[in-house]
Amino acid sequence: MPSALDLTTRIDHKARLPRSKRIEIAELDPIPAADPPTKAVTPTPYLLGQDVAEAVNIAITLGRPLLLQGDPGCGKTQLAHAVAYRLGLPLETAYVKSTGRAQDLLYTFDAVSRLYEAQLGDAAPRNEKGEARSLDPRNYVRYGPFGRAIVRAGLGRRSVVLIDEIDKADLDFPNDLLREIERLEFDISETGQQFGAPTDRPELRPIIFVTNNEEKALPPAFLRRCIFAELRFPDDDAFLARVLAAHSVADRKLGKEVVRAVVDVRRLDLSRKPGISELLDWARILQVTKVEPGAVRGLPAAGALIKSPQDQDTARQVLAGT
Amino acid sequence: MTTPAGAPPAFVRQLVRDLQARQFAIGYDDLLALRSALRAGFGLASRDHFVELCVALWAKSGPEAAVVRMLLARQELAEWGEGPAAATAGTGNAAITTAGPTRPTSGPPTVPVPVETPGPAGHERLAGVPRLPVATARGLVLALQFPLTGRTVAQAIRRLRRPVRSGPATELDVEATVARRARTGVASPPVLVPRRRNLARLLLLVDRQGSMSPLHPYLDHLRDAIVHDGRLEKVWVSYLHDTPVDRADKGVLARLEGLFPRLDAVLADIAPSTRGFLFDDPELRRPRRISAVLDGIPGGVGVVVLSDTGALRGNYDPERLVASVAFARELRRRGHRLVWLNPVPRRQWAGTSAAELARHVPMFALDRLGLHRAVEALQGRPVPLERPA
Repeated sequence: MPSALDLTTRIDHKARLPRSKRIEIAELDPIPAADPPTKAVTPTPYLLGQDVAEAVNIAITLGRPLLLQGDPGCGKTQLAHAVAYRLGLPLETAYVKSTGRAQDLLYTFDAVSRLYEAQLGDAAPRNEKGEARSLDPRNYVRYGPFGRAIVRAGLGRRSVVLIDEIDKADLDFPNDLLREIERLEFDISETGQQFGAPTDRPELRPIIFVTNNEEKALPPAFLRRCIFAELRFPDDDAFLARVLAAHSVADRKLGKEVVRAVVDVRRLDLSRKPGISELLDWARILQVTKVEPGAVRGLPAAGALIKSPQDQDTARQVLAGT
Repeated sequence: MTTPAGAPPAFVRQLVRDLQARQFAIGYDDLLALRSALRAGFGLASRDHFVELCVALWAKSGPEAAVVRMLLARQELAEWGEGPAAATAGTGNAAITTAGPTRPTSGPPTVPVPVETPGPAGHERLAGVPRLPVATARGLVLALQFPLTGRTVAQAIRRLRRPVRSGPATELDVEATVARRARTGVASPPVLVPRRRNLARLLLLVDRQGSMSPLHPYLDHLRDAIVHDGRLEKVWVSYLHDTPVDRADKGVLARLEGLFPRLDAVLADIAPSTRGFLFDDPELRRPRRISAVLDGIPGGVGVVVLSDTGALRGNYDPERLVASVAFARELRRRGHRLVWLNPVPRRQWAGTSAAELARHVPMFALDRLGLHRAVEALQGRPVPLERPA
């Protein structure tokens, strides 16, 4: 069933951003109904490519999650942070563990605490009316990141949700989230509460990012609801130079040599090619240790760039030859 | 034939047909999503924007994205707007679409092209010769397509289940907790047990070289689908050539008569054997004794052999048959279930070693139904055989 289009929100990958913004604090529980407290957020610099921005806009407009794939260290997680900052929205992050259940992203119900408190009799904690806390199951509900985003949407505010490394959990995990992702509503069976994003206001739908390391195959029913975007290492040297400059690698000559060296290293047949995060780490180390641009080709501090000894030897030999 | 109002244009319908032929699950909802996205303004700026929109909506992985791009490139859509490859791509289209013997003898082609990329220096078109598609901007557009997609294989293999409670104890065992409370009468912590995980395991033996040489890319694709997408706890992969066991019992062979002897008479006398080698790498350079490989896997692990068993070349080899039965007996002795997967369709097994071996060990053709039946056989479902080995 196609959902309504959100035509009000687009990100512009070329827009200049303020150095810091005040954004609602994300992990508060309970979520304030109005006037939420804000905090100043300073973003990590992130340069968006045009095709990635287009995919993000498609996902926002159609109201579907954006499935991000690509090599480790290419900026999948950081993309969600960057988009949340651009739109000034709070970011709810769910780091998926292999032992996690899908319901934990929505809420957890602390049945054991309730059982203990019910047994304490007169010594049990009480609320301000003098009743035992254990009488009301709503006292024992803690919301997860996705649940908080849906509750916040019900209160009239938008959020960005990041579900990181979804393929770490087992096969049932994405399947258990299908209804919540499709309709953006969930209910708590222990208390009978129901929460949902308003269906007639597509501009309040939480923006969902899902990152995938491609270690396991995801179920097709989940995949067909997602918009796909693949983050690749940029093949434009000028873009890489701008990335380095944005991350305060001020020395332009050093930056140019670093980009040249990394592009040449990536052409080799290595067990693992360096990605953007390795490029940035290496450039920053070289800048801090004040390495000369001419000495970059000798791959000093190669451990920050190439993570296996055989690959380091191969790279050194080839780069020394050219 | 005019397109009825509201129907998607012909190239979109063709794209959907091509994708469905490659087992992409594209349906009505996906077309509606494409239309919504186009209405919202995406994918209209240039042909490349449209291609990327289709990739974002309909592909779900890197290889699928390549397939979608390839299918759209095959359709040779006219360029519109300002894509990065506007000029050269336009010439490529002209080179392919203007063909036929009746060509004007002079002058450039009548199709307007922005830039004519020069072919070999100083080439001239001869009158009456059809124009060959020489050096188009994109060249030949090809992509691999196998009879069984990775998804089909993964769905079948995932049904191989051995649920075992292992890992950290995170699940509440309600009955045990209640029982403990009732027994002791004291407030006691809940009883936690580990979650059930699927710890199915598989030993995959792949026949390489010889008659299987043309199938090497397909075998690699199947092996990768089973290993990476099957979600099994562990898959051991070894490679063999023709038969696992390479020497058959001479005494048994001597008693077989005729050109195409059946094994029924000697079946009871074939002893289990591990004389032979399996290889660790697809190029068959690192041999290991069969006994070493089998000792390295625990009991109860299913064994799958991927081999044509003579069906590709139409061979009937009694020695190979005896050796295979000996191997099957050895596996049964060690407590493993064995299935044979044959890439050749069943109707082509008649008269070859494959048909004869299929009477003694469970052998299935490598199609969707055969794969599901093989997994059921590995799970323990009895397979009717004429003369079980």
